[in-house]
Amino acid sequence: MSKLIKPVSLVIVIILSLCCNRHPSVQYSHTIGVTYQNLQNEFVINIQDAMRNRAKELNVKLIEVDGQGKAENQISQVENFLALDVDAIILNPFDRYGSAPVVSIAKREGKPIVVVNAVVVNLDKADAYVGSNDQEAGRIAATYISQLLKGKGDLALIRGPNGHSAEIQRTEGILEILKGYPDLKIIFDQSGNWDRTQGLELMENWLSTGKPLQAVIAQNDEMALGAQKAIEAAGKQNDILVIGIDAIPDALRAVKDGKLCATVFQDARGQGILALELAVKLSEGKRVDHTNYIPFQLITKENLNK
Amino acid sequence: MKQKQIFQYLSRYGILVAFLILILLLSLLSPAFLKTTNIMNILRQTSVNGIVAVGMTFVIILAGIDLSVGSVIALAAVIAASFAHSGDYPLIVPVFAGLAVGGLCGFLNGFVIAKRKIAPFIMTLAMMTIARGAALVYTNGRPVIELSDSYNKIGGSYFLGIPLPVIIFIIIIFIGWVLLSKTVFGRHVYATGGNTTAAALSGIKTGKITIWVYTLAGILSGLAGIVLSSRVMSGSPATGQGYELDAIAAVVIGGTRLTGGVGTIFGTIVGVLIIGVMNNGLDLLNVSSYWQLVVKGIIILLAVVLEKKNSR
Amino acid sequence: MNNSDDISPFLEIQRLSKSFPGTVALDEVSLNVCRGEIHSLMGENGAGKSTLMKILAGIYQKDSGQILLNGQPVEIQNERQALQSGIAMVHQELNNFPEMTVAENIFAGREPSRLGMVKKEELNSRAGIILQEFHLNIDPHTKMGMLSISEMQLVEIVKAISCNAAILILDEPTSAISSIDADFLFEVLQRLKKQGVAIIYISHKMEEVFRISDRITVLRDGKWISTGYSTEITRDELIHKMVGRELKELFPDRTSIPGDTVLEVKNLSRQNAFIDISLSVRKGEVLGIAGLVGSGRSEFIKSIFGFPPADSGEILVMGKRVHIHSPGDAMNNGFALVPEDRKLAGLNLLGTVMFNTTLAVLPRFAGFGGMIHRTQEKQAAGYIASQLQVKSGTMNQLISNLSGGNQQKVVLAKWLLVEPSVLLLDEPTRGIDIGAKSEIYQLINKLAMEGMSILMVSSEMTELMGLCERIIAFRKGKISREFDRSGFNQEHILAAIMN
Repeated sequence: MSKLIKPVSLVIVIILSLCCNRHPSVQYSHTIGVTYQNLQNEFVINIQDAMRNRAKELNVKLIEVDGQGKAENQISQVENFLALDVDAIILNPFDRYGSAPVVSIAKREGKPIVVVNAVVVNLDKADAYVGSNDQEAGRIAATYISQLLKGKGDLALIRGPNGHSAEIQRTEGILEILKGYPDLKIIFDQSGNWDRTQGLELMENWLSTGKPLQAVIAQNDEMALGAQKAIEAAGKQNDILVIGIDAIPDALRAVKDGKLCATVFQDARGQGILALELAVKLSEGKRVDHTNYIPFQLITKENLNK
Repeated sequence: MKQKQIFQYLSRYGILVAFLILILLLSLLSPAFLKTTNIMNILRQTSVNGIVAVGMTFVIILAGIDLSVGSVIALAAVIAASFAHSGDYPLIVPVFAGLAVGGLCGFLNGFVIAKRKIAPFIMTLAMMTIARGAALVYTNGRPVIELSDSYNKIGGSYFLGIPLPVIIFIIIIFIGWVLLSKTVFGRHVYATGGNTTAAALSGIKTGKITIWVYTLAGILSGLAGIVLSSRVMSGSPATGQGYELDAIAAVVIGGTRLTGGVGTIFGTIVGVLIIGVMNNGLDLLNVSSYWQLVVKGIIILLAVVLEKKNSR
Repeated sequence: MNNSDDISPFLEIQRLSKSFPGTVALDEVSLNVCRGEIHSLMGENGAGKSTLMKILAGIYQKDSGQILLNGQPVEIQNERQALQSGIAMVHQELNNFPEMTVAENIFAGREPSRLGMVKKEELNSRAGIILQEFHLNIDPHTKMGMLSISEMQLVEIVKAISCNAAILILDEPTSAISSIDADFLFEVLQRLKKQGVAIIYISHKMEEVFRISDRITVLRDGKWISTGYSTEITRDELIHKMVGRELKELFPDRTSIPGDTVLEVKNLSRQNAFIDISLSVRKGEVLGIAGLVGSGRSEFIKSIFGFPPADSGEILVMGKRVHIHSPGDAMNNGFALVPEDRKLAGLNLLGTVMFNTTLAVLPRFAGFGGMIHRTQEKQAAGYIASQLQVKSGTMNQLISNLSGGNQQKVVLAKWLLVEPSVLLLDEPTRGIDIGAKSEIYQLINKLAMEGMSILMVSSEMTELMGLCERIIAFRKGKISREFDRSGFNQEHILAAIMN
């Protein structure tokens, strides 16, 4: 076994150096480390794309890592960033609490850190936050549904993963609006874990209880599309409204076809670009605003083409 | 003597009794539970786990384990979906691609386990990450959407009033049952899982049996990936997570020993249904999702404890 | 009940019964054992000895009947309760922890400890004292796995006695140890006897049973047959009681004469197993292979069967060279192998009698799509099982419910279904009782007379000398000598296999 270690590690080093030094001639102005919450999520990938494009334009070297849905991964990744001596760190936190140490670690070492898209409990310690206020997304969705239903009806709520920061905030926003409409009642409330299949199966089960339902608020588009599929299969597409959040391409198409009544557009591109720009400014020692909201937009059939 | 017979009968079908009790309980608690549409829901929702669990039954009887099924589902789903844009290819192409990819992953599992003598846990754990990674690479992490109507019909249409996934599931049960309990191949699977040395000395090519069993499990994962992506009309590289554990739970609830050599398709089906009924019932009762996890764990544990007690 | 006498019984078993699905293992068996007595329990496999002892040791639970200790009824629900009642059993298959030291094994589960920390010093010193009491020259620090089988057995006995066992059950303790080690064991037993321990001794070996026991009880087919003083019964009477019929000549003469050479092996070698083995077997001949464990005898016949194949050399069947890379190849060339250890290599203990009987010939019953014709399978299995007089409730009974002798018959049945021209037997009668042995000897004889060539490995000299035309002695992976029937002599053969 030990005989193998040397040749194997040599091969690994060679492979790594080949991977990393593909453009040895380019001189970068800055090096920025980014840790994403989970690159299996389309929305996060959109942020990544925007960030990559902007980095190329600004001649910034990005070191990107995937937290794979685990806060502890993000912590060790940032420790690696520090070892690589990056100029600034961008954190796209997975877990409001679990990812918080990332900020503490960066600040302990005096590295600028920008938090993007989701929040952490010690957000005030970070140098900047770029994102959209998830409570606002919840408020927008709930407001639109209450307008369509004229303040009366029974609702189902499909949440994101329990404890996820977007789940917590979107729920807060939704409940805040619904408080103003005593005749709007949530009769079903479960987590669909951002997953389309789970949204579908939840809806199938709810429908078979036979309880009439006027609208479904899903905290992301994937779950909304799943729920819509179940509703359509049951022939109730004219009776039950479905609204999602995120405005992924599939959802936009569904809005166009009238299958979803609306989705709430969260500007992934805007978030990615601004986060990168702030990180660059911070590493040049410039001052930036702490909180930077990229506004949400309600997307309906009417304003779809804009 | 009479009492004793009843007891023996009960112990033999203990898991079935547990299942019936669960059904009785849920039908008392929720009036919607026994309605035809709900029963169809349960069957449709269990069909994907069921297809995977049939393959897992073979693997576990062989004293193996397949942790890669969830990831193979995702890989097959995205590859099948990528060939299923409307008008691109006839339906047979995405279906064949999905099955072939699943079969290939399974074959690799079986080949390495049989020929290199790698523990199934390790090999399929490696395949679990490889297949998930391959699915993400293939799609750049984005779901494959805009699938053709014909493809979407696999998961969405009905035949004689029964959802097509359920029909597929029933066909797979039948094939699995015949293969396992009626054929020479099935007998050889039991023999290899029960005592590899004795099986090899009986002239059974245990390596070949191993490769075939994992390939079969892979093909069934591929099929599950096709049905799943067609149901939600999108092939997502993130899909299928945790399916290996549901399948293993179903197989074990159904009385198959993790050490191999013993088990039936019938038991697995009951296991699959117990999990499916439980998921559905907890949703119907609108049990909070935090509590659902606790209740599910307890029911799985109870079912296995009951089975263990009765098999003594 | 048998004749009671001056010594008052310490352990009384009254009308004990136990059934398993398909068989009545014990049928109202009564028995008593006194302090300071060695009481032997004899009977064929399947007679109910092991079941009875396992009930006493708390492994099985009785269906009905009573167990009295010192006149007081006791309930034994599990092994822990048995130990608390002072009953300890040393199993045939030793249950120890090979990776732990002797001291740790002796005190397993009741280690001297303080605050959850094992007191190693005390553990070892106490173990040392106990071992010395028994005159055992074993270091308590040694790993259990490093001991010989007889030493492990003695350690288990020490462990049992150190738990204050008043009743010690020994299940075939000498089946795997040398006669010198057995002598030492008997000394230990005599000492325990003097201390007033009641010993129940199970063995198939007549000689030692007569030598050490005070009384002998015979069981047959789950029923009590007799109990008597060992001085008042002859060997023949005992066999008669055990078998329930006159034991005819154990090894009947064969009248047939071997024909042409069927199997020829030339210069077969396998690394670290055997070197340059050449031999031949004729039609209708039984060729014996004698040798110690590790002499390469089992490895050799397994290699003929391709498990694993030899590195070099030739195998010829009817003068034609055959290439055997796997058991499948061997079967195609007319070979069958009854392996040494039926539990590890011969049977699938999770399967039924039918499953095991037909496993090697399943493709023969296969129809469309590999589906098995159940009726054909049943007929074939039923026929061979009746030929071999396999005693089993039904063919769908689990093989693990059968006695050792019947299990071995199933292994033989499985390989006779293959209809081999060369039958390879590795210890065909190991661990089975004299009745089943005699049946297997008759069978081997009959097969040879019908023209089958048989190559047989055995550790029992009487068996080899009784059945074989010739005996080949293996020593350190090589053939050391060959004996013809006329030249059979136990001492010479032993000399040829000893290092």
